[in-house]
Amino acid sequence: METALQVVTSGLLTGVEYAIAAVGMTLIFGVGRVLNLAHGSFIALGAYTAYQVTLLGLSPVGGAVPAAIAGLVLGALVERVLVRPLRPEPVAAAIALLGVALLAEEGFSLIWGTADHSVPLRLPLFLFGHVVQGEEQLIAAAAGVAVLGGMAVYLRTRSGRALRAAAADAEIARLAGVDVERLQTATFAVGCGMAAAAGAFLSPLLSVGPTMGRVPLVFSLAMVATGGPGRIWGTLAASVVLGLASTFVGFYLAPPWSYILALLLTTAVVIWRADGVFRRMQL
Amino acid sequence: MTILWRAAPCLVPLGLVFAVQDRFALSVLAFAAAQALFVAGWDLVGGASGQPTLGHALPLGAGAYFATFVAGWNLAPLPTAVAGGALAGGLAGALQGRLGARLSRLSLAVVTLATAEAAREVSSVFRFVWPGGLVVGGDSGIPMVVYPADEASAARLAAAVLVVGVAALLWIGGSSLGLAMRTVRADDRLAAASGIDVVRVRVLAFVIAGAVAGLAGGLAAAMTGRASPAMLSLEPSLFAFAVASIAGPGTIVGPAAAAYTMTAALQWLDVPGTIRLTLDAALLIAGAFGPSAAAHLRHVRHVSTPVPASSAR
Amino acid sequence: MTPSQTIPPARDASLLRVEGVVKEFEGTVALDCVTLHLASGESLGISGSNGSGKSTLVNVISGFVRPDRGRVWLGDREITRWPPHRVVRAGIARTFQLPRVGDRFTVEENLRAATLHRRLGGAQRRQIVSQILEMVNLAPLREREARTLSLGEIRRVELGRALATGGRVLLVDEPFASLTLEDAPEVLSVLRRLRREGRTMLIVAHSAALFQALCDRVTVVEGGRIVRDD
Repeated sequence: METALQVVTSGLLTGVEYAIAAVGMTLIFGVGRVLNLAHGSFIALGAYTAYQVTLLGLSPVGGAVPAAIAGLVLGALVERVLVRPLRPEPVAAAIALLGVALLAEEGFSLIWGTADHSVPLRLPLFLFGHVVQGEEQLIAAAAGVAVLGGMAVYLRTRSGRALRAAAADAEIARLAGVDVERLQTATFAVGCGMAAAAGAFLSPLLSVGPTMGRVPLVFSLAMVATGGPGRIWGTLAASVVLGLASTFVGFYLAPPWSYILALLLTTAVVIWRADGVFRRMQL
Repeated sequence: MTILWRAAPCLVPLGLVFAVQDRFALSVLAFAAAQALFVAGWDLVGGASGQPTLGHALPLGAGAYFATFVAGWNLAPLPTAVAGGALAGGLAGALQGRLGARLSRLSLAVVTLATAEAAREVSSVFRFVWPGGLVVGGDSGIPMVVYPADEASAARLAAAVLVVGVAALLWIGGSSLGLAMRTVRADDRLAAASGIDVVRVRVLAFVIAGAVAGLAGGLAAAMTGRASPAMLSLEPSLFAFAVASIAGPGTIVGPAAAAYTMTAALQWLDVPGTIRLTLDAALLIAGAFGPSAAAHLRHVRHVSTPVPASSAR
Repeated sequence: MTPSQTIPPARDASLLRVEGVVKEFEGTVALDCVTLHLASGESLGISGSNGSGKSTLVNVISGFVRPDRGRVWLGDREITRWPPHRVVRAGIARTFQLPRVGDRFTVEENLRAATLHRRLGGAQRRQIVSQILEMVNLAPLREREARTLSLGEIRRVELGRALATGGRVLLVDEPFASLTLEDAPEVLSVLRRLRREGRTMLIVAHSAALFQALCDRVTVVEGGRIVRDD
C-alpha cells in the first residue's frame, strides 16, 4: 500500500512537470499550426542546464529559469529562421524541426560528451506518512501549477484573447489587426521555454544524454494527442494521467515499457481521432 | 522502353561490382546497394503515393529480424530466409498502411514514427534463447551467418537485387497502380470520384515499399551478420526522407542513385557517425526547403472517408 | 416491417432515388427530408440560392457525405452508406463545384485515371479515352498539363473524367460557376450533346435559361428543403 502511494504521488508530480512541456507543445501547434518535433531537444536543453547548475553545487530546480530563457531565445530563432518560411507546409516544417533535433543531439554530445549524466538532488527529502518526496519535485510541481495557472489567467486577458483568435483563425485575426506572425514567434518561443523549464524539473528523473530528448518528445506527443485538439486543460489532464500511468508501468514492469505505452497510446489516439488530431487545434 | 531507359542508371552499380577488386570497396558497394534499395522503396510510398512515412525502418527491421530468425533456426536456406525478409517487410508495411490510410499527412508521419519506434524499443527489451543455448537479443540484436561469404559475391548479389528492385518499382510506377497512386497523392477526393479505392491504393503502396525495405533488411542483416534494434531506429527513415526530398520525390531512380552515392561516399571515407548525423540533419532541413519537396508536399492530403452522420464538418 | 428495414423501391423508371434525406452540420440543417427521383435518360435541374443545400445533396448522392437519415437508391441497390469510389463503380459519376483535376497530369492522364477501376484492356482503355476527348472537344489538348488550361477547359476535363468512369448517372455541380463568356459556350455545348445522347443527368445551376436548354424538369431547393418540383 505504501509503495503504491509512493508511486501515485511520484506519478502525479511527474505528470505535472510533463504537463509544462506538453502544454507548451499544444500552444505551439494551436497558434502556429506546427508540430514541434524538436520539442524533446528543448526538454534536453533544460535537463543539461540543470545538470550544469548542479555542478555549481546548486539544486537542479535552479536551472529552470536559465533553461527557460535559453529555450525562449533559441525557440524564437528557430521559429524565425526555419518554421516561419515552412508554415504553409506543416509536414515540411515538422521534418525540418526533426533536423533541428538531430543537430541538437550532436551539439549536446559535442559540449557534454556522449556519456549519460545523472542530476543529483541537492535539497532535503520530505516524509509524508510513509511517502518520501524530494523538495525539488515539490517545488517543480508547484512551479508547474503556477505556470499553468498563470497561463489560464493570461488567456483571459486582452492579449490572451488575441492569441486565441489567432489560434482559431489566423486569417480573420490578421484582418482584425492582430500581428499573427509576431504572436506565432512569441508562442513558439514560450512553448520552447516551457519545454526547457520542464526539462530542468524532470532532470533528476532522467538519464541526461544527447539522445534523451526522444522519450520526452514522445510523451509530450502522447499527452497532446490524448488531451484533445485545442484543449489546454485536456492536455493537462492527459499529462497527469499519463505521468501516473507511465510511473506505474515503469515501476511495476520496467522503464522501457512506459515508453512503449506512450508510443502505443499516441498511435491509438491519433488513429481513433481519424480526422487527424494534428490537423487542427484550437485554444 | 521508357522504363528500361529510366532504370539504366542502375546498371552502374552492377558494372562497378564487376570492375572493382578491392574487398573493402566491394563491401562498401554492397551496403550502398542495400541502402539504395531501401530508399527506393521509401520513394514509392513517400514520393509516388504522397505518404511521408517516418517509420520505414519498421519493414527494414522486420525483414532483417525475420531473415535472421529463419536462418538461425534452420527453417529455410539462407538465401530463402533473406528473400523471406520481403514477406515480413510487406506485412509490416501493410500494418502501417492500414493504420495510416485515413490520416492526414502529419498524423501519418506521427503514427509511422511511433510504430517503428515502438518496435525498436520492444526489440531492445526482448531476449531469446538461440540455437546453442546462447541468449541473444536486446540492444546487441541477433547474430546471423554472413552471406555470401566473400565481399565480391555479396556486392554482386546486392547490386543485382537493386537493379531488379528498382526496375520493378519503376514498372509499378508506370502501371495503372502507379497512376492510381499519383492520383491519390494529387487529390484523394479526385481519386475517389474517379472510382479509385483510396485506402486500398495507400495500403498497397505501403505493402510494396515494405516488401522492398524488408528485402533490403534481409540483405543488410546477411551482409553485416546481425539484425539489431538500430535497424529500426529513426535515422534510416529520416535519411530516406531527406535523400528522396532533394533527389526528386516520386522518381525512384533519383533517390536510389543519391542514396547509393552518398552511402558509398560516407562509408568509403569512413566519415564518423557524428558528422553523418549532422549531414543527415542538414539534408533533412535542406530537403524540407527544397523546391521539389515543397511542391510535392504542398498537395494537401484530404481524408476521403465520407463525413459520418451527425458529425462536425 | 419497420422504417429502418431496407425496402427496395418498386420497379419503375426511377434510376436514382433519394428518400427522406436529412443532413445536419453542427446544428445547421443542410438537407431537411429531401426526396427526389431521376428516371433513366432524364435530365433534372437542381436550383436554389447559395447555401440552400444543392451541393450537399450532390455530396450525399455521390457518397462524400453520409446523411443522418434517409436513403439513396441506384436502381434496386441501396447505396446510402457506400464510400465514394464504390458509388462511382456502381454507376454515379460527378463533377465538383470547385473543379478537381490532377493539375500536374495531362488531360489524357486525368481521363485515364478515371478508367482504372474498369476492367479494360490497354487498347480498349485508349479508345475510350480518345472517344471521350472528342466528346468534350479536348482531343487537341490531350498532352497538355491540366494546370496550363483555362477554367472552361478544366471544366471539360472534369466532365470527361466523369464520363470516363463509365457511370450511368452524371451529377454536374455548378458547371458554369466562374466561367467567362468565352468558356461557357464550350461547356454548354458538351452538356447539350450529352442531353441529346439521352444521358441521365442531375445538374446543379442557377440560371433558368440553362435549365431550359439542358433539363427536362427543375427542382428548387431552399433551406435544405424541396420547395418546388416540376
